[in-house]
Parts: sequence; C-alpha cells; structure tokens
Amino acid sequence: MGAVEIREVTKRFGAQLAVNALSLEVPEGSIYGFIGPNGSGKTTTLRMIMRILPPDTGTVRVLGTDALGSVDDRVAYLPEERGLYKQMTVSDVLEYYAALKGMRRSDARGEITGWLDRLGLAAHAHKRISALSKGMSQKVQFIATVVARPSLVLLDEPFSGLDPVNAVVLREAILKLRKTATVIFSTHDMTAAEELCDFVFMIHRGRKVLDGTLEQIKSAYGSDTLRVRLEAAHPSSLAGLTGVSEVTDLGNLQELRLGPEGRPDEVLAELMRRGSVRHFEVARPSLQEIFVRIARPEIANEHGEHGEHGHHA
Amino acid sequence: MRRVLAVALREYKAAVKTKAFIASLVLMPLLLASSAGLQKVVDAAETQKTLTHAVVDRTGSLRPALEAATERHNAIEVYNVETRARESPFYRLEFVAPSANTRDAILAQRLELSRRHDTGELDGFLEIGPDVFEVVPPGSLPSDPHDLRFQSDRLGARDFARWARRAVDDAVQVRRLADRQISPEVVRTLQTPVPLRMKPTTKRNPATGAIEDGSDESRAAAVFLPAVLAILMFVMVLLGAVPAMQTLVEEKQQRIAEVLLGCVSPFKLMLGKLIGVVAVSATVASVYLGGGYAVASSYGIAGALTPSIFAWFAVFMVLAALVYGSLFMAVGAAASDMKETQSLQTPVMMAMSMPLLLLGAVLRDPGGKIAVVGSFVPFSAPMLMTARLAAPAGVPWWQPALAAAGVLVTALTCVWAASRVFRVGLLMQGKSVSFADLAKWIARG
Repeated sequence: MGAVEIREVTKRFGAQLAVNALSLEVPEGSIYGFIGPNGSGKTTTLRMIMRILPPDTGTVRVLGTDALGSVDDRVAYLPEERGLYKQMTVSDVLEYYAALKGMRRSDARGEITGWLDRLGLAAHAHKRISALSKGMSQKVQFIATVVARPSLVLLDEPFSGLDPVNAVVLREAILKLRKTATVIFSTHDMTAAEELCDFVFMIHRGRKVLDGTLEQIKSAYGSDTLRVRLEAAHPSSLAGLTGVSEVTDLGNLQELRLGPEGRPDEVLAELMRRGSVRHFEVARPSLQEIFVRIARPEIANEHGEHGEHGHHA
Repeated sequence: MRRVLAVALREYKAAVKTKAFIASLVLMPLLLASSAGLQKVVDAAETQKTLTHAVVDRTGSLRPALEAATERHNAIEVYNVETRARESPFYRLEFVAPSANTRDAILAQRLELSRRHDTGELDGFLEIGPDVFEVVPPGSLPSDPHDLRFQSDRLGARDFARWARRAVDDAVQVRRLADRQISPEVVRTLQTPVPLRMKPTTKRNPATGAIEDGSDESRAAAVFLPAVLAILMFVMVLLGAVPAMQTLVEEKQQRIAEVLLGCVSPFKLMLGKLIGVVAVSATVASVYLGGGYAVASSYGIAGALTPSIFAWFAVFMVLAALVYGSLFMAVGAAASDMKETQSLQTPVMMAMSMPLLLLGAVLRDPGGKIAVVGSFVPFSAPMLMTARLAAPAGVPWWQPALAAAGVLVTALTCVWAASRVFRVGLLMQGKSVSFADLAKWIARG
C-alpha cells in the first residue's frame, strides 16, 4: 500500500488548470522527489495531499484514508517560505506547533530539545524568531514540521537558501527521518534530488512528465550524452561536429548531445583532430539535463509570447 | 478541542503581551479623562469673560432698574451659592441714546450697532420699545413698540437674552403695579414660587429590602454609568478584535497560515482565535470594571452597578466580541497586507461606531424611540442595551433577552460567513479583494 495514492486528480483555479489528470503512488518508507519549473503545480499537489485544498475530480488517499477535509496528525508539511511567528521564541513556536498536532506538552519538550541539539540550535532556544538568521529559522521551521513524529512528511523546497554546511545537516536529518516516515520533498536542487531520492516525479504544466526511480528515468533517456574537455580550447571550437545536435557549456566541461546519426567514436576522433582531449565520457544525461530538456522549449515559448504582447502594447 | 484551546491561548498571549496593548489599556482612560478635563477648561474660560451689550431704551426710564440688576448679577448671581466659584460671565451695559422714532432712523441705528457687534466691540444689543408699560390684551398681536428686542450672532447670547428679559420684566412689572397703586413688595411676597426639587426615582434595595429614596449621587451615576459602560464595550471589543485581524495578516504574509491549516481545520482555527478575542476583551473588561468599581465605591456610587448589570454586560460583551471578532478576522483573512485592511474594515468600523454616535440620544432619553430601536439592532445592541440597562429607568427583562438573542443569531451568521472567507482568503496571496469577491466566497464557500 502506498503512503500516498493519487488517482486522476484535476484541480482548477478559475480558468487556470493547475493539476491535470494526475496519478501518483508514493510507496511507504520512500523518499520521493518532486521536481518541476515554477508554477507547474508542485505546491498545489502538496496542498491537496495535505487536504488544505480539495481536488475537483479524482481521489487522494493518504496513509490509507481518503477522508477529505479532515486534517491528519500523522502528516506534516513544511511550506516553501518562512511560516513562523516572528515575535515568538524558538521554543514557544515549537511547543505551539506540537500542541496543534495534538502532542502533550511534556512529550513535546523532550522531542524539541533533542531536535534543537541535533541541528545545533540548542543555544538559541529562547531567542525570538526575528533574531535568527535565515538558515537558522529554516532549521527551526523544519523541526516544527517533524516534532510531532509524523508518518508522512511533505517538504516544499527545504534546501533553498541554506548554506552548504546547513544543507548537509538538513540532508542528514531527512535521511534519519526515513527510518520512521515517508518523505516527499519538492526541490530545484537536482543534485540533492539525485542523491537523496528513491523516486523522482516531475510535473510540468499540471501534467506528470516523469515518474520512477532515477535508474528508470535515466535509462529512458538513453546514453546520448558525451562530456568532454579539450585543453585550452574555447567552447566555440566544438561547433559544427558531425552527429552532435546540441552543445551545453557546463563551465569546466562541455556536454554534447548526440543526434540520431551520431556515434561516440566518430566524435572522439574528430575532437582529437581539433585539440588535445583531457576528458571524454559517454554519460547518461543528468537529472538537470533531463529537466531542462523537458522544460526549456515551453519556457522559451512563453518568453516568445510575452514578447508578442509587448509589441501589441 | 485541545487544539482550539492551544490556538486561543497563543492568540491571547500574542495580543496581551504586546506593548501596544498595555499602552492602550493605560492610555484609553487617560484620554477620556483628559477630553473631559479639556471641556471643563474651555467652559471655565468662557465663564471668566465680561460681555458688553448696548441698550437702546426708548422708554427713557428703565436705566436705573437695569443698572441695579447688572450690579446684582455681577456681585451675586455669577457665583455658585455653595462653591463660591464663578460660573457665568460678568455683564456690562452701554446705554445708547435712541434714534429718532422713524423707520429709517431705527434701521440706521440697528445697522450701526450691528457693525459694532461685528467688530467685536459689542456682544449684542437690546432695544426696549417705548410702549412696553402698556399691557397688551391677551389674544391680540403685539406691535413693535411693545417689544423687547435683542440682536446678536453670538452662540452664547441666549443666556444674556434670558437674563435681560427677566430684568426688563421685573422693572416693567414694578412700574405697572405702581401705576395701579399696588405695592410691588406685597405682590413679590405673594408670588414666592413653590420650590421644585428634581430627584431620580425611588427604588427598593434588592440586598437589604429597604426602600431607598432617590439621592443626588444616584443622579450623577444615572448619566455617568451608562456612558462609561457603553464606551467600555467599544474599547474592549476593539482591543480584542483588531490584534486578531493583524495576526491573520501576519500569518498570511509569513505563510504561517499554510502550516496552521495543515494542523487544524479552518473552522477550528477561527474558533480558537475567537475564543482568544473574547478572552482579551474579558481581560480589558475586568481591568476597567474592577478599577471603575473601586473608584465608584470611593465616591459611594457603586450601588448603581448591580449584579444584573454586570451579568448583562458580560453576555453582551461576549456576543459583541464574537460579532466584531469574526468580522475583523474576515477582513484580516481577505486582505493581503495591512494597507488593504484599512479599506476593507471601513464598513465594520462604521457599524461599530454607529452606537457611539447615538449614545448621546440614548443617555438623554433611555426609553425614547432612538434608544429602543438602537438597542435592538444587532450591531449596536451590545453597547446601547447595556447603556439603557445601566440608566435608572431600567428596562423590562425581556428586552435585553430578546436583543441578546438577536445578537446571538447575528454572531453565528458572522462566524459562519467569516469562516468561509477565512478558508478561501487564507491561502490567497498578493491579490486585491473586492467586496464583490467576499460576497462570492461567502455564497459559494
């Protein structure tokens, strides 16, 4: 049985179709990554799982129940930004959120102390939220989410705005959570998604475009990617290679995408004629690359449309 | 239920622990006291003046009597018998030679005196007709020469006119009596008025069973107590409801609303907040009423605060907190920032201030039409019915009960409508909301 089972769910806001005939199953005990461009329907989907929003059609089963409109103490949600009362102290906020989840005070206190210690916030327990740095308040917000020992945790962009040290701390905390809970998180950080997730789900314009294990997704996109580095060569020296349909400059590396006729050994031979090859790798596309391939044509289109509007005005 | 109480407790603490709350708790009575004090200072300044009026005496014989009356006024009448404090302005009369008795001359003189009035030299002028000693037969229309005429544009002129009329009447009557060989002294003695004493009604003390005659203290309480209770109701509800609205805007802006809605249903969240509002209002009430009772006791007028007034005050306070709390919360849930609450809350503030505007009429006549209607209209009932209950005339028991029932129905309607606005509004970001939108949300949910 899945922790979350979404069947044929559609949600509109006025004329805008936010989620379109979406189906998804999140297995219990897994870490599930939601990716997708801004405004693609991630947050709406999360809110429907939270029962903050009801779907127009279709069903959302969460932890085996589909009682709509009732909140569930076993489900916890970390919204994308802030979500804390500025004038309250750290421990007061955490106790309040624990109480809202129906936790007893004595019970909550122990849990709160444990989490504050683990995330290096013990010294700040009695400070006001307004006195904390962004990273610190984000960690407090994370604790507020998980303090009541939920079985399903939804995290909306948990890593945005965190420095690398805090990002690692949070990553460890999420890995620790999976022992007791199913975790769903949305992110723009593809590296984090690749490292943490058992499953990745991509939504674009309200439709599911990717869903599966990383392995499944990457093999579906084949081995059409070459990563190369030429010594002291300008990226433009890679122009006009036979069989290569696209060149992406990754900085230190150049990523080449092969066309249908392209063959890696022919490209390598051509590269060796052009300069001294320092790195050559036949790779499967990164999640980043797959994301961009799906989303870019649409985004480019959108820009085009906006340009048109500008002219009319 | 534990969750609802957790919300209520947080809201209560968040509202009561702020500096703004404590400051307004202290400042509000000071403000009321100082505005009352200011009124006194203005009145006092008015009474210390000397007013100058011109007198055109066409009889040519009343000057000595009027001068004597002025002297008596300035030496005796301006002072309060008990306190010896001066309570009205001194008068100075300037006797002007009458013009020729033609219409044009009379008009020219009036114009000239009016000009001196306009420059501030005179506060007004009095014209005594040449024929004032003649008795106009009852039923016939007096003509100009029989009149005492007073002209002024000053607002305070009425007091002088009344005084002047009495002074001229006295002098004229003395003359008429003398003409008929009657001794004015005898007539004066016979005309000694029967004394009139104004007192409030007699009541039976519910505690001791003894009959208590209306005292002058309860007279003071009769006006004071209803006014204070009604204004207190207003202040309390405002101090309770406005912070709840501000908190909601913060919750929307900081995306706290999403977290909260993930924990409790919108209705429970609002219920918790409403309990918080009622608790804040009750705190303000107990501080002020406790303090007020202590002050009233020290003046010996605490008897007017009966247990039944307390009880009805509590009932109406809770209901008012529910009505206005839910309305302000609907505003908070619909607005996306503080600035937007300003325009959205206008109708709520208007409904809330209406009873304050009617309060004067209610105090003057607690059983009058305005008072009775106002104390049944749900939005003004809490304030005006409390004021009427505290007035000495009292109110039959079924009236507050019926009004309370009406307010209760309104409160439930407001809570229901606000919870629908709440559910839609809380997750809405950065969009300006019109009243038409609100109506749509309430209708569709």
